[in-house]
This record gives sequence, C-alpha cells and structure tokens, in this order.
Amino acid sequence: MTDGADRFLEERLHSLARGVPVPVVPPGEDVRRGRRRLLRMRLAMAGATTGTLAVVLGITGLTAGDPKATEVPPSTQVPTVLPATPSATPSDKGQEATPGSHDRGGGDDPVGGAAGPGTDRGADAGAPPSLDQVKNAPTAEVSAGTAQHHGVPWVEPTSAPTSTPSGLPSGDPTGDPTGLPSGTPTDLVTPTPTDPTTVPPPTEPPPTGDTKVRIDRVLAYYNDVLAEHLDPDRAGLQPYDRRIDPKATRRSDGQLFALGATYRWERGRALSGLEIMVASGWDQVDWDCGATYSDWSCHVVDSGTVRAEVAIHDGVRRVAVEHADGQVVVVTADPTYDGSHRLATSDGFGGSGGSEAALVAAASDARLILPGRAPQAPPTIASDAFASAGRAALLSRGETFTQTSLDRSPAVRGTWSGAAGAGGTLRWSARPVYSGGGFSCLVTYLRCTTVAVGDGTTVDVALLRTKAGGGWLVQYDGPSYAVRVYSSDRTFPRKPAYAFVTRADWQPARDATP
Amino acid sequence: MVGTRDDGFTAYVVGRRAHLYRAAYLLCGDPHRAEDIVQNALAKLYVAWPRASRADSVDAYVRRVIVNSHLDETRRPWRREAPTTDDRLDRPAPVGVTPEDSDALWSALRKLGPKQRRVVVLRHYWGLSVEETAADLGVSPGTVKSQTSAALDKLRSVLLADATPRGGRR
Repeated sequence: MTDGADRFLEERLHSLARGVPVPVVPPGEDVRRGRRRLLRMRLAMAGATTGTLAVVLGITGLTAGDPKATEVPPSTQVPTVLPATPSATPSDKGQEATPGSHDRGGGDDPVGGAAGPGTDRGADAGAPPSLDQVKNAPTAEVSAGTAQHHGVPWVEPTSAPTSTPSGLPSGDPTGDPTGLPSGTPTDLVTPTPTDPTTVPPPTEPPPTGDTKVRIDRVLAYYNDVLAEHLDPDRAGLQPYDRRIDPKATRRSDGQLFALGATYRWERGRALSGLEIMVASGWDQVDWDCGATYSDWSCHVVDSGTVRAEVAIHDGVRRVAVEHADGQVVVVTADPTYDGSHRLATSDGFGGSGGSEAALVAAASDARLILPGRAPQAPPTIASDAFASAGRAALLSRGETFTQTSLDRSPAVRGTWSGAAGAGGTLRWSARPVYSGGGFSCLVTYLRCTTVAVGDGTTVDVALLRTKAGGGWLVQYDGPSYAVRVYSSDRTFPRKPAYAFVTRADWQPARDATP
Repeated sequence: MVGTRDDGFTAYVVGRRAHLYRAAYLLCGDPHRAEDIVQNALAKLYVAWPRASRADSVDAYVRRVIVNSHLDETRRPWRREAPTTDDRLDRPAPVGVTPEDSDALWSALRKLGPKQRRVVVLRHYWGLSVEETAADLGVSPGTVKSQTSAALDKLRSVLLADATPRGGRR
C-alpha cells in the first residue's frame, strides 16, 4: 500500500469516526462508576488480608502451645527485631503473668489462645533479648547515677562492654518507646462482646411440652437454682459457661432422658466441681448405692417430706432425690475436680456450700426438671423383694442359689446348683420399657420363639449360642418393665420363669397426676 | 486525595471521552458495546489514576484498556453469536454516519478480525507508529507490521476503488 492510500485511509477513518454520534454521558457518572470499582477492589483486598491473617493466626495458635513446634532455639536465634513499638509494655506482662487461671477451655479458645496471651507469651519467653535490651542493660548500670528518670537519651558508653550479657534484663525498660505503634493490635485481641461465653441467666424455668429446648439456657437455670441453695452470694459457684463447663445428655429417639453439667466452684486458687444430673428415672443415672459391688458409703436422709440418698467416696459427696414425677436429681460435690488434690476433701466448697443438708435441699428443689416432653419412668421395683421373689419362684427344693451381685435396676445374678450336680448361672432382671428395654432377637441368639402362657399373654424365648454363653432366655415385655430370666443351663425348667416374669407385681404403674 | 483524583479524572473525561468512544466504536462497530468498553476503561482508569497520571501516560493506559477490553469481549461466548439483520424490524434512521460513509470501507473494516482491526485503528486513527502500537499491544513490531499488511490487503480493493475516481490519489 502506498503513502497516498495510507493518508486516504486515515482521512476516511477520521471522517467515519466524526460521523459517529457520541452519547452524552455526564462525567460524574464515570466518576461514580470508578469509585464503586475502587471500593470493590479495596473490600476484596481487605477481605483477602483478613482471611490470610486469620489463617496465619490460626496456625500460630495451633502451634503456640506445642512444645514440639519447630521453633529456633533461643541460643541460635538472631535478635534482628528491635522493640521500637511498645508491644511489650508492663501491662502486657502483667496480664501475661496473671495467676490462677483455671480456664479449662483456654486451650481451645481461638481468641485467648492464639491471638492473645499465647502469642505474647511465646514471643516474650522464647525470644532472646533484643538489641535494645542488650544495649540498655549495661547502659542502665553505667548511667544509673546520672539519669534516674525516663526520657533520658541513651549515652554511648565510652568503652565497649567486655563481656556479653548473658541473662535477660530483669528490670523494666528505662527508655520510652520512640516509635508509634504501626499496626492495629486491638483488632486482633479485642474480645467480641457479641459472643458471650457465659449464658445469661434465664428468667423462666425449663420449658415443658413440645417447646423448643435450649440446653444451654436450661443448664444456666440449673446453675441458678443450685446457687440459691448452695452459694447465694456467688462466692464460689461460677455461672454456667457453655465453653468451659462440660455437659452431659442422654438421648434416645429424639427424647431427652437425662441432662446435666459440671459447674466450676472456685475458692481462691482451688477449683472444685459441682455436678448436676437431672434424669427421667433411676435407670438413667449412675447410682451404685444398693448394689452389692458398690464401694460408696451410702445412707438415707429422710426428713419426712424429702427422702434422699447420700453417697460418699474419697471426699466426693453425691445426693440423689427422686421427685414425685419419678425424675431423679443427682447433685455431686467434687472437691477434686481439677485433679490437683490440693484441698482437704471436705473443704473445697467452703462454708456450707458442699454440706449434705445443702445438697439435699438443692437436689429436692422441684424446679429441677427435664425440659421438653420428658419421658416418664415407671415406679421403681424394690430390688430385695425382686431378688427374694425370684429365688422362691425359680428354684426348686434341693437346689441352692449363691447370689453374686445385686443392683437396683433391679438385677440379680448368681449360680445355682442342683442335687444331681447340675448348675450354672441364673440371672433375672427388670428393665423399664420406656427407655428401650423391650425384647429383640439378637444375632447371638440361636433361635427366638414366642410362647403363649395363657390369657393372651406371650413371652419371648431365645436359645443362646454357645459362644454367647448358651442356655435360654425368657422375657416378658410388660407395660412398665421388661422382665427377663436367663439360665446358662438349657435343662433348667422354664415354666417357673414364665410365671415369674409375667407377675403383675413387676408392672407398677405411675399415677397420671402424681 | 479523593478530590485531586476526581478533579483530574473529570477533566480528562470531559476532554477525551468522545475520542475514546469513537475509537471503541471503530473497534467493535456497535454503539452499545462501545459504550460498555469506554465505561469499563474509564472505571479502571479511575482506580489507577494516581499511577497513570504520575506516569503521564493516561492516553496510553486507556488505549490499552480499550483494545484489551474489546478483545476480551470478542472472546466471551455470548459475543460469538452474530446477530442477523432483519429488515422487517422498525429501525431508526441512521444518525451521524452519513450514507456515503457507511460504505464499503465500513463494511470491509467490520470484516477484519479483531486483532487486525485494532492495529488499523491504532495506527491509522490514533496515528501511532509501529513501535508505539507494538508497545501498546504488547507484541513485537514485526507482528504489528504483518497484521497491518494483512489488514490493508483486505482493504485494498475498497481503498483503490474509492481513491481512483477522486483523481488518482495513490
């Protein structure tokens, strides 16, 4: 193409462009679009920076408490960072050295463990003295007679120190920090007031019926009720903290059978535990009193209006009270909660906080109930009567029975022996049906059959495999209890067991209006 | 700081927006896409204004943004669909571009590929040299020359046909 053609092309292009109608757009519109784009970019950068910072702090928090973390030993670390910023103020050190922190959840707390004292502690304790500290240490000694106040500029010593300072500076820094803080540390360590760990005390008791249950609020309510009886001044019992205080629940098929927590009881540097468990019945609490294998020292406190069982073991005092609706409340005062055993066993709660009378009064408080639509347990069966009735019904003349264990569920276990040298294990028990005590044919059963025993009543009979102990098992699922008899000897007569398990005595019913 | 940025940017937009729009229009041949390209370029320019104004290369920055934006637009999937002309639609009378300008040159220009068209626009509308064009596009001068040559070959027939009757401007 020639130059003429080039010029002609340029003229035609400009002529073409001049004919293009240009829309009238106010410059302010372009400024507004530019500002929005700039804002979007800055927000994106801030978000990315925050995210990166969070990841770094998270990793730092995870490795800060690990003694095996890959950290350069102080002897080989080069002190390249000068403390120009007042990051190590005395107030920081005071916070770091606060004693008596019994925060069991501190290790899991991402705020306190990672960005707060944990990071500072690691930096202060693990790092060698910085250049300023090293320089100021001999300077303070040399100039002690001339410069006693802060703000005196550092004077170059006339002779260099002959020996390298070996220890960390023990006194406060004598010079004011010369630099201004460049970062925004308050963004990192300021606690978030919108996420309190302490559940505010509820004003209403736990909801009943189909209302939505908030476990933490119920546990906070339990805490308040216990405080009324045990520690009205809140001198030791700490409010419920869902992050620290362990809670325990027992659920089945969406129903709550037991709910409890262990609250902190602080007295000076000592930490004790006050545990509460509210359960639907005795079958939902671990209560060994009345069992032959129990090593608790148990007795009954009966004031006429309240009947409580008290168990004591190694300074731990437990009180259990069955309420009118069958729910069982167990309150445990554990002075060895923190495992340090620094206290006398009866002194952990101070005053009357852990006394038997106070615990009984607390456990018998009618406000301590299971929230929601709580399942209802049947009345308990007296274990002694259940044991004697079983012996009378199952054993024949000439047979002997040696009882090896008895618990209050009730369950009886022992060995029987016949006149002809036969014998084996014999066990009979009753479990509440409401909490899943019904019969089911397990894989360890060789065969399961249903036997009619009259009046439309049926019992389940199972033959057990040899590796499961052999023998047979007879069970009757009544309206309240599933009563079972087990014999390891298949030749042991079953008919007495049929009659025993179907007795009406083992099906007590609770009144609808206790 | 914001006031300084806004003042300088506004002054530039007032003086150069029409020129930028026309260049974008020559590149893409569509008024709406041209407006999109210019808006996008000016928004990016606002963000980079301190840097671009300090370097005294505002025009170069915007040129590159416009050319690259146009190229990016052509790569988007929905831009690959070529609209068909439907004579039955009620169309407004053409404004600005005269019938004689909407001639074979315009048609030939639109038939060029995006890369060849941007070279033609930069060199013959914006008046840049081969080196400046190569620097703007981030390609070698040889590439600019070859693409210019290929583009002008396609425009040759139109240019010669139009130039000959006007007195042999060769």
